[in-house]
Amino acid sequence: MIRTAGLQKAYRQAEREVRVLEGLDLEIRRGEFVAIMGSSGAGKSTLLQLLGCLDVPDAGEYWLDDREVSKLGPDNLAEVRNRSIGFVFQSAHFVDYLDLVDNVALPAEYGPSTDVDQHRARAIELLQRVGLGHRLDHRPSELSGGERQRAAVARAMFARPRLILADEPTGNLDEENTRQLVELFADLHEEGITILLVTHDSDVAAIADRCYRLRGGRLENLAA
Amino acid sequence: MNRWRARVRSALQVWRHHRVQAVLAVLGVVAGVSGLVTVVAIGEGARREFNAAIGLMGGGTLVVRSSGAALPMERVAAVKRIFGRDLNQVVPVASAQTTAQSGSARVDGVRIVETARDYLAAQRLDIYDGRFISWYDQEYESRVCVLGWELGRQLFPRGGAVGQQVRLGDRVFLVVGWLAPMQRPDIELGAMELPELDQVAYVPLATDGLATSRASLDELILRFDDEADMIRASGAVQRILEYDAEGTTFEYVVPVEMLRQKFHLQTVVGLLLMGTTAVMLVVGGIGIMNTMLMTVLRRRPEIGLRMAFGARRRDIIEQFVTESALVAAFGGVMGLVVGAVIAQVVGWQLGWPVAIGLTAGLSGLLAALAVGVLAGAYPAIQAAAVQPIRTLNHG
Ligand SMILES: Nc1ncnc2c1ncn2[C@@H]1O[C@H](COP(=O)(O)OP(=O)(O)OP(=O)(O)O)[C@@H](O)[C@H]1O
Ligand SMILES: [Mg+2]
Repeated sequence: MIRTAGLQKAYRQAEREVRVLEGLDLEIRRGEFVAIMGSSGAGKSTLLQLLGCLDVPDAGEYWLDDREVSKLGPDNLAEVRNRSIGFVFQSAHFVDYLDLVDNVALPAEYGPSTDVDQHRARAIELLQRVGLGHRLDHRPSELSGGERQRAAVARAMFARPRLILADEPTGNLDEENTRQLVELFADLHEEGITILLVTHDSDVAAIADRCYRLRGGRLENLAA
Repeated sequence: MNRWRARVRSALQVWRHHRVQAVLAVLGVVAGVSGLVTVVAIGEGARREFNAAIGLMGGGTLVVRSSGAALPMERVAAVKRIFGRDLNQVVPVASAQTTAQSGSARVDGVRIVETARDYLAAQRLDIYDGRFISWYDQEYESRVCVLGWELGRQLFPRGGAVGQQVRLGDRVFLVVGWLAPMQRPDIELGAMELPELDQVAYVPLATDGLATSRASLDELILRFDDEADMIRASGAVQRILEYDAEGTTFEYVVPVEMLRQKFHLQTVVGLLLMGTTAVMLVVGGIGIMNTMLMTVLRRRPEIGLRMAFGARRRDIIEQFVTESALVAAFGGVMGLVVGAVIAQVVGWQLGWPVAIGLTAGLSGLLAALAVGVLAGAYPAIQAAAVQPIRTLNHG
């Protein structure tokens, strides 16, 4: 599903260079659930942005589903983000002027199908599945933190991507909400969706098949 | 098509969420479009009346009028000979006032127009019943007459005027035709004589006519194909008519010119307003651009989010241009309403004809849309340049 070789990324800011990833190798097979831990500033979000085609590496190869993504142009990258990847961010961003259904159906705006009714039906189905069936016409700002994260998962699932990238989705949640979200990820894993989850919480990491620590720009294996 | 419907739907939701901003953003456009609609409505109103009047009398018409001395008939013949090809009609006219009588009906102050066959076409008159003066009538100076609509009704209230006899002054004429009521423009046509209230009788120009002798006329209507022909010929016409005439000059009336004079003020006011309107539209565009730039700044997380879920640069540009165009169109519609009211009030206060129609509406809406698209382009490009990783990470 995912294979990277010698991935490098540095940020240049006013003459100073911050080297974040230094030759990172990673391989994830289809259907695997992989967790990545690491101290703050280690470059976990940077890695996820590269894998999520939101940014391009300075050097190295990145293959996604047998396609060499590191060679694609911006429009093709956008298409990959639209069809193949679902994101869940640490602080769930939403479009504040759309209701929850339209927010969950956001990927449809950039997808090939234009059947609005069908999009809404799918969004409603997903919201019901994450336990938000009673919040369909609410604005995102009217939701609690846990509800927002569950809605974000529903949105990530909308386009039926085979890969979900989650960047500290439980970072701002209490125990109960964390538990609900972890169950959700476990369900998705059951369904055969490949999941890459960044977390600080070793309890959360414990449900993954494999676990890595990002340190010094490379991944270290951790016993699961 | 579907994609654009989605864009518009989304843009509607944005502005519904930010109503106050939308209204503030478009104030300038509202002012600009209402100005534009007013200008177009005034200009269009003037143009339509102008055209209606021209259609009625013909753009290539030149009226020569005697002031004192009558027009010598042989000179008229010379004009006819020289301009025969360009000239549609030369219509001699002499007129007088007298009393008309038929049986017990009697009408005073009837205008008698002594003229020729072509007068019917030159004045765009319509026959209601019977016929107009013919070549035969002209040649033999037949004692026939054609009644204007009103006179016919006064003399023959029960109808059936054609075939009856009327007494005009001290002579008896056979009625051969009755004219339909005249289509009259709302405006005063100046010196262009339109018979008053159709209370008129037309008779062939006669050597011993009621008005003048056949040797001279008091009015001559020259109809050229168009205005350019008429202007080109007018100098020569004047020289021919006034050749060796001592002191007797004639009055040359160009009805088109009189019309233009009449609408001169509208033209000037229109031009002035047009300049002001253009400035207001530019200011309106700046207002929208300003709002859009603030919007883009505020919505960077949203832009990053959309990109993360598959939006291309082009999608983002389309989104913000649509929002800008939509809010401008909304301002345009408000401007149409305000402009229509202003135009009505101006027309009513100054007595100007105004035409609030498709031209005014379309030009207002198109101007608003153009302003919206232009003003939205730069902010949209700014939006498309947002780096998603910077907006999504922490926040
Ligand atoms: N856009 C950027 N420009 C410059 N430096 C950046 C940028 N994004 C990240 N960095 C730097 O790169 C390093 C790695 O950042 P990153 O966000 O990937 O860390 P992280 O592991 O996700 O940390 P956290 O656990 O706090 O989210 C940090 O030192 C950060 O300051
Ligand atoms: Mg991070």
